[in-house]
Amino acid sequence: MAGGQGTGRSFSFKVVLLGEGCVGKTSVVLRYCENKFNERHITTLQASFLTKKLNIGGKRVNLAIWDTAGQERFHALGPIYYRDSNGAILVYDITDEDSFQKVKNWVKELRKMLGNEICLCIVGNKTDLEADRHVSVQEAEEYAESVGAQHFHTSAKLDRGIEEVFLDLCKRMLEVAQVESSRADGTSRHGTARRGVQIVDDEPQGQGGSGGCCS
Amino acid sequence: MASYDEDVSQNSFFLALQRRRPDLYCQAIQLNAVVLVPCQASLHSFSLSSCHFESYILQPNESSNTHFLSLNGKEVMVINNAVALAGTHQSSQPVRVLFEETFYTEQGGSFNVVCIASPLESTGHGVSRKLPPSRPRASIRSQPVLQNLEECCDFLWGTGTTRATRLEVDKRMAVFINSFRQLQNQSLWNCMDAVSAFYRKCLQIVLKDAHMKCLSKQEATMKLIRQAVEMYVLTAVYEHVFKVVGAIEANEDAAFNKRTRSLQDLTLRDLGITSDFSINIPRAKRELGTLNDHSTPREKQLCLRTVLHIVLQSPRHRANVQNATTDDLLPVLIYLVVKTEVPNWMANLSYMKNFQFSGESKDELDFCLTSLEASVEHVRAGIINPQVFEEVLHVVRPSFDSLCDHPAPSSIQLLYGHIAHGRVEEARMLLSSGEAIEDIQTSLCHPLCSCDSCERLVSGRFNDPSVVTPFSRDERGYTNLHIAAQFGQVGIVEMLIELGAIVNACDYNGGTPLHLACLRGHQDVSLLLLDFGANPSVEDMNGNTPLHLACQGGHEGCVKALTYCDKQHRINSGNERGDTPLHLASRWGYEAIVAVLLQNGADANFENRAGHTALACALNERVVEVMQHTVCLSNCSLTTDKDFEHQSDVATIDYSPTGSSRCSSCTSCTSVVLKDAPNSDEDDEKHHVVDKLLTAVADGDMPMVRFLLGWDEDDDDDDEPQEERAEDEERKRAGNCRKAEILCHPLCQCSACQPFQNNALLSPLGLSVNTKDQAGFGPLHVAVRHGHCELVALLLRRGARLQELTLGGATPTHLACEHGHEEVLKLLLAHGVKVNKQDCHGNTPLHLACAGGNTPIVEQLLKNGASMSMVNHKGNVPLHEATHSGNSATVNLLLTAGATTHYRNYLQLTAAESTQNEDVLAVLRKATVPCYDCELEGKSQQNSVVLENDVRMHVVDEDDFSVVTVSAASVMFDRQAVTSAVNGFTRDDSVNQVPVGHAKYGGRNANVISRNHQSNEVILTVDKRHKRIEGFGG
Ligand SMILES: Nc1nc2c(ncn2[C@@H]2O[C@H](COP(=O)(O)OP(=O)(O)OP(=O)(O)O)[C@@H](O)[C@H]2O)c(=O)[nH]1
Ligand SMILES: [Mg+2]
Repeated sequence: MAGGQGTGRSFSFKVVLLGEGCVGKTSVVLRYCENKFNERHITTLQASFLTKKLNIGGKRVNLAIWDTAGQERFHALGPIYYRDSNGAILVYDITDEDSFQKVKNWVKELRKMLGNEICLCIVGNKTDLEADRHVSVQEAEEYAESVGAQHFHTSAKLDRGIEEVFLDLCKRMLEVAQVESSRADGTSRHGTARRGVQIVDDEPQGQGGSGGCCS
Repeated sequence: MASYDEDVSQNSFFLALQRRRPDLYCQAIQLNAVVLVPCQASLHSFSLSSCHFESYILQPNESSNTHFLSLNGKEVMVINNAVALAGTHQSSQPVRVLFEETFYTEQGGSFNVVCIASPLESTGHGVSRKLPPSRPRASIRSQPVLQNLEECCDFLWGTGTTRATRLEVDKRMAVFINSFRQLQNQSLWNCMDAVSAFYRKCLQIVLKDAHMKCLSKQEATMKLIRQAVEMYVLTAVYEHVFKVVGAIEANEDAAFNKRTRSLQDLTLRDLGITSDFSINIPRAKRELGTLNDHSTPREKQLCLRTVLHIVLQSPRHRANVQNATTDDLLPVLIYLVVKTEVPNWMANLSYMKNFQFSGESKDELDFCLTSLEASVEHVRAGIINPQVFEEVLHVVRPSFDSLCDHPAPSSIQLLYGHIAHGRVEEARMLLSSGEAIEDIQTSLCHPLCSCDSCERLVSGRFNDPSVVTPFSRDERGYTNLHIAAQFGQVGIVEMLIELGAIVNACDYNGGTPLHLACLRGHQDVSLLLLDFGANPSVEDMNGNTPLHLACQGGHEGCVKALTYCDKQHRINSGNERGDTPLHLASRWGYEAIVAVLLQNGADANFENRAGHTALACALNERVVEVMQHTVCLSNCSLTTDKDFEHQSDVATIDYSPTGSSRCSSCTSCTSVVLKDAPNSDEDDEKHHVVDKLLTAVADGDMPMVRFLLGWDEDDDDDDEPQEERAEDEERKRAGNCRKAEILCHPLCQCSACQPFQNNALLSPLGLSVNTKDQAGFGPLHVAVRHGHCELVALLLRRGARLQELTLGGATPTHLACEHGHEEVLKLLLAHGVKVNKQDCHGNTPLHLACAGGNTPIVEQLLKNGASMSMVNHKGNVPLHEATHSGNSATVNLLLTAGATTHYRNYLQLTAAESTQNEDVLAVLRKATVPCYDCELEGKSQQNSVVLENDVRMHVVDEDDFSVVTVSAASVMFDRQAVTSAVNGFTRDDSVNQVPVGHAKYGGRNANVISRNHQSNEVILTVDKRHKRIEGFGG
């Protein structure tokens, strides 16, 4: 089972969940990683750091999902959590107009700090409370499109639409990673590369450029 | 990462399923089923051909999480991370679950793969059962985690690797370390580049080894090789690299420590941490405290991970932890960061973040690091406030109705609220409500009367807890003064002391108000308290003096105040842990404080209980340098420098070519003040503007000064005294002054006060009338010094502070006297300056005026109540200084004013003994003629020199005090003569029986002004000044 054979490449993605307090971030991620098969398997770090293995059309993906603190007092810590992430899931509560505004702010901030490298998903949660909807579907979807994000509706309570969010996000992150890695000559240089440190090829005898890479 | 992993799409069982039973495979996809896949390593003896693939495909079960049905109807149980066939035969043992993976097909279907440690059934040809159990288990064991150097070495050099490879790496290492030490520009980036290049080099060497090359074929093992090499390399260079990082982050760390030290009151409740998590905190704290024992970023991160796991462990209530989210984790981490004694968080963070070359940035370790970083950042943001503070601060303003109706906030809380907010008047009112009760008492019919009207007056008042006095304490034993000191309320401190508050009151922890002021870094309050006699050597329960607390908190201002105001402070006293203040400053990385302490005589050689010197406590290179430097310096200068004045320490500051450098009070004394840390450009800019202002002042260039300070000429043109404007002006100035008084002690340059001053009187250029340069000179000082009367008047009108000190401790009055500007002095005196302030050499303005022999100035000072008995750091009273000046007129003036002639300075010389000047001596002798009815024995030598006097002394015990009768030709005693007289008559210890202040001389009350137990010398004086001064008309 040699790792280097064609399909054997694996990807590590970091996905961060952002959104106002109480929109259901933790519920969504817990629901996604909830193990119907084996209850005890969740790691000790529990809801704040979850990993999930996916295999999408033969490509292995290690997904690390970082839930962030929703409390207002920790708001300023956002950048520490979302840096180096490949994807972000921006959650709002469809019954709460403000939470949608917050999502817009997050999008702005993320685009500013991380550019277009990061894949965004905007998620309207709590669709089971459709009757109390305060954010128009059309507005949300148009907004999402305008910022190059996918829009989804979920209900953590009823377990609706959550898997789709992560699957779509993973597919898009894969695309980005493949474009990036073809540009970067087949080496996996995400993450550490951004810190201005070059990392070593799997085949070190092919010592290519040795200068710093991040400019 | 620590767990087992394999690519299931390459797994032969999985491939066989797809190839042999495509129908089942499709069904699995359709059902969204769970597919059990035995791991590759368990398959070599497994017969795929005879396998019942159906048993491995489980139908999803909505109703149960533990019981599933396989496609062939077998019941499968999942318990404790293991899979077992239920019921049928007991031979089926549970098989461990290794990992799970969700598969999505191109067509949009999905299923879950669960990789298990071995096949489920050992049916028929299954040989695996009979295999020695160790074999399959070994092969599926999760990858080594490489927790420490030992494991890395085992992994790298343990098996198969040739010796030559290791030798090569080690050789490179030695070379690298050598060159790294000489790396000139040790910026973080250079450092990172060097280390990462070296790491790459080593990795290449390792991978050339045949054995490693083979291992590196697998992705997972390749990762391990990287980790191992990285750990091996970084362990070796750790000491050098971490030192550099520590030095780079030194300032950040010091600032951060200052912040955390100020948060030591923080409670779990403040952060909203529940008991579920708090039980783990002590263990987590212990673990986190070992952070500096780990040397590679990876080990440090592993330590962090252990901490996080401990935090989230909840042995008793598992259910609660299920929902432990970032919101729960962060507060605990924040608490740990504040409370754990790690003095170099920033260095650690930077090191962990930047010196990791092999790791995945997205694993659990990274999450741990990020969580720590977030916590540190949160602490740094300065938004945490311990409840203790908030409680006091949030107490509502009182209305007196509410006082009677709702006892809710007790009046002591109310009072403390006022104090904390600096509401002087309200506090005073509350304090005086105790007096109001006495008023009530007088209006009663009879003190014990209980008629209706009296009852109404009295009801509830006598045992009323709402009555507070300056001596009230709260449940921590804090008095009002403690609270005021804690909150830095100078105005209140002053008021309370005026009302009789006890300056050295101890709380239940043994802390005095001075402790609290120093802990919180209120320099102004500290100075004030010291001024009012606070004892700086009181130790609290932990053996900490105020200086310890100031050092620990990183409050440079307070450290300076303490060392400056209190020369004989036990600067080397140890607390419970044996730490001297220097230990604390050095541990927490406060470079500037370390330097102040060292210059004030702190001894770097003291060891604490753990046997560490302050130097050993220093984690940061910058502090180490300061210490080594200063220790070295003091060793050089110790031998030469025995003067009182430490000439070598005194640097002269001069603004104009005419400025003289002779005088001590215009010099900045480096033993008090330190050079600032390297300035940023902004600081430079600021200094430049300040210098410009002060030069303009020195030149007496009024228009320029006006311009720089942004003052319009017509604003304060007092030639045309428009009353309204004058009043307005007056009111404004009074306002400024009052504010300034409340906020700032004259010496205060604390950051809390500075912005206020600036806001109040800031010019467009950011200059204010009280802006100072680095030597502590403000415009008023310079104007006074150069005798620009008009300018001084202008500055005073504009609210320049009269008692502002230079770093040499000189007030403007000192400068006026020193430089002999009589008109300026008159102006200052008219504004009511205090004339008896001492500068850092102990000189009062009168000393300086006398030293300059400036008779008119001396006269002015004496008229305004200058004391003639103040002693400077040489032990001189003004008369000594006048004598040295050689101006007999000045000496005469002092004597006429009633100066006593027999004070001895530290060289044991009276004024007369310290001069050869005949004129002066003549004047002095005339004054020393005794004017009492002494019993004269022997020759009366009225005109002879003091030294030749025949002194007789009789000590007679009378009731409870001793009467000292002296018979002599002159009052001016000779020391030897007195000593021998005492010895001759009373023998040894009788001197000790002479109580200070209770002696009689020549039939009059006399003062024993000094007794020296060792040399048995007694110096007596009769205070004859009072009459004379009255006559002088002062
Ligand atoms: N009705 C409904 N309630 C939901 C849904 N998702 C979450 N909630 C509820 O919303 C509340 C907040 O959920 P959390 O998952 O803690 O939200 P969060 O965004 O993680 O909150 P913070 O951690 O404070 O930012 C909880 O009471 C959930 O039960 C949903 O889909 N429907
Ligand atoms: Mg949450």
